[in-house]
Amino acid sequence: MTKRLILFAAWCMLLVMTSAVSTWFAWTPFSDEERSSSTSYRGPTHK
Amino acid sequence: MTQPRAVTCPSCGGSIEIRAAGYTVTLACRYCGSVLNVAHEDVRLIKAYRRVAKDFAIALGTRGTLFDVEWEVLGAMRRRSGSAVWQEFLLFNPYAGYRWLVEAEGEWQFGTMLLDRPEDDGLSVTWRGQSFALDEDVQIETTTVLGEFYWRAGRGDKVQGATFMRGREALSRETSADEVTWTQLIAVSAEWISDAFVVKQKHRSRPPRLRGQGLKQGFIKAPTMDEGDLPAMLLMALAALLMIMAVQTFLSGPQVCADGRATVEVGAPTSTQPIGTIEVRRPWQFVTIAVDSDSFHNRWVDLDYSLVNRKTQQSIDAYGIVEFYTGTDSDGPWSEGSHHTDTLFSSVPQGTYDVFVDVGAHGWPSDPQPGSIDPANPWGNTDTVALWFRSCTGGFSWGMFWLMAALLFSVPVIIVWWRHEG
Repeated sequence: MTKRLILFAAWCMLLVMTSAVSTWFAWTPFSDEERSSSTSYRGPTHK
Repeated sequence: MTQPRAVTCPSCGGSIEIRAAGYTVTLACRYCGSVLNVAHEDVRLIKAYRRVAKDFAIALGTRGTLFDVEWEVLGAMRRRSGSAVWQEFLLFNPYAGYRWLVEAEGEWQFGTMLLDRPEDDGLSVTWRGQSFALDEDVQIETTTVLGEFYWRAGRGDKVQGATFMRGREALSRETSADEVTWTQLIAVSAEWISDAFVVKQKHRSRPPRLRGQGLKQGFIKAPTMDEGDLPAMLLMALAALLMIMAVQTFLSGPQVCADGRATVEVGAPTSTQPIGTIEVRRPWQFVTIAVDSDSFHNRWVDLDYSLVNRKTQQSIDAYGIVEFYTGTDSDGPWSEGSHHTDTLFSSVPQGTYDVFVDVGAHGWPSDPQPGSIDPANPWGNTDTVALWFRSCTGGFSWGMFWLMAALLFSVPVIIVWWRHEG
């Protein structure tokens, strides 16, 4: 196992742990508790 | 030296000198890296590159004396074969002609093109009575080109390169679609090169390493390319992603759901409606509210949710919207939006919650008159939108999952990108 692979394995474990902790506390930066800033206009935006 | 000729790069407007005027066919602009055809009086652009080639050990135009001849560095190229990368510099002297300097990790070789072709019998060659044994036969790709060359050099050029060794001396055979060229390569000390030319610090010699014989002995692997661990890295990232999915699924439960329904008149004031009761059984959980509506057009429904804790009467708010638009323009009919949306609450503490929604439906481009009939549903009583809600604990954040996936795979992707950038 190369040094680079060991570092990458550590990085993977860090992300798994981060994911576990954030799930335990039900935390995410992607929740909908902030109203979208685009609510001032409603209507189609395709053009 | 020959009288230099100045040309203007048609790509960036930079002024470039052709030092070997009359010999040089291809010139790579030192400012923008574009490859120019200078064989014609009117310089033509062959290929424009956005990135300026850099990090060469010796700057173009540098002069130095080797073997009692003053050489000028006309061109430089970066080449690779598999995981090995190295730099080659084209030297020029109007009386002696062209030579090569090859650099890999601070080690140097001096190359002379052969006019007398060695006798080739496959696994060895004989040149001037001496036998050279085949060391390797690989494909070589040019990844960066800078400066002048006496042939049409370009990024992405590929040749088959065979190396024949005899002690510290080597013969290199390069076979392209057009020709076969032979070069004699002899090792020269880095100190000698440093004395002759101005060599950039990072390319200066390092302590000698133990390695086998061979022409490519100096062409050790470049950073990010030194190990064949990319497949293992991808597998590791995939395993970690599966682990993240399993952890999220395991830690986010249990799932408890409640269903509710609401009907709202388009253009009417916002109304508050209860849509169920849910129980958060873990210390913290996500709550997801999924809503589906009936099939309306050119309407949007604003949804302000509140989870009200029965014990503390504290409220947690989140927002959602259902919108769907259709129309016709010069490109034909179009539609936009969806009759479904999910709203995610994060960090909801343990407890029992009544779920309320403040719902208001609106028309686009303007609200219809209150009590008006929906043109799409003329037999209905009024223009209304029906909504079905499903509130659940125990979900997890897909945004978080994809963020983790991006962070996991970014490392091998950056390595692959780096490789392709040479």
